[in-house]
Amino acid sequence: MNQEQEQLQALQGIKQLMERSSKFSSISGIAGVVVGILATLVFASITYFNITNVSDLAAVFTITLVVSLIAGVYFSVKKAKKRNEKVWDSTAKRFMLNFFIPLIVGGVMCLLFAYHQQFQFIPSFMLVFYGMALLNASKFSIDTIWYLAVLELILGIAAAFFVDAGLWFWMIGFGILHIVYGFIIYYKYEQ
Amino acid sequence: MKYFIDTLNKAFESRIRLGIMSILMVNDQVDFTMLKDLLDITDGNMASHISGLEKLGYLKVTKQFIGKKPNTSYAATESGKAAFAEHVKALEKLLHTKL
Repeated sequence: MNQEQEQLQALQGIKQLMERSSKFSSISGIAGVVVGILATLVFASITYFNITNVSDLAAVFTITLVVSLIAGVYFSVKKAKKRNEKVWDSTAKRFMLNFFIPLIVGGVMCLLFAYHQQFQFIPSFMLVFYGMALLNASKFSIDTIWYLAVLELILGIAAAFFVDAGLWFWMIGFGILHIVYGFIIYYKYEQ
Repeated sequence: MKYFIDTLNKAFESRIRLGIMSILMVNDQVDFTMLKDLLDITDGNMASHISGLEKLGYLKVTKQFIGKKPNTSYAATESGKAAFAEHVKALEKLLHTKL
């Protein structure tokens, strides 16, 4: 190997190590697609069966959230194992901590608003807090997440303005965007 | 040409030292196991490179107990960061003049 190649390899090695040691890269595109399809189905059944009962809606959203989180973890673990990387390393911990703090605050806020019978802004809050959670965690993961976060935030604000169409924005944010970004992440990082 | 080669830091000639510093540039505190996993080397090998970098004042070693387990973590010092940045700049320049 000549010196030039050696230099180039050293630089590439530096970049790779910096990214691997500071960024959580096991985020799975497949999980995004699965979660997106799930959210779209949830939206379809809420509108089709005209679910308006508060406790039914709360149950549907809670189940959706839990299933989505399980899918996220499952596919991330699978991806990490496939690439022979540790799943639960310090980048994963940092990512999770920064992701879950805004998300849990948002979840509690939504429940409190529901408790006080204020339902109209809940889809907007879900989008805004989810966007904030992603934005916060994006520093510790792949760049694509940042763009997804910004789009979720824009949708959240729009959902607060057009309150009657709140659920439509929810479907776009949690359904369509997840499917689109799932594919982007898959083709960009998992091929 | 000669000038650029001179600015390459001898301390970073070893790939492992370069790797250790790369990781410490983007992480405030890194512990022994994490470094070892990322670089995929043996304990003894790592210890010698670490102490080499420590002697140069490029990294700081912190020993503490987490519960009952001893834990050693490392952080890059200001001069270590500066030296590393300089070295990377020299590497880049070297490539540019050749291309």
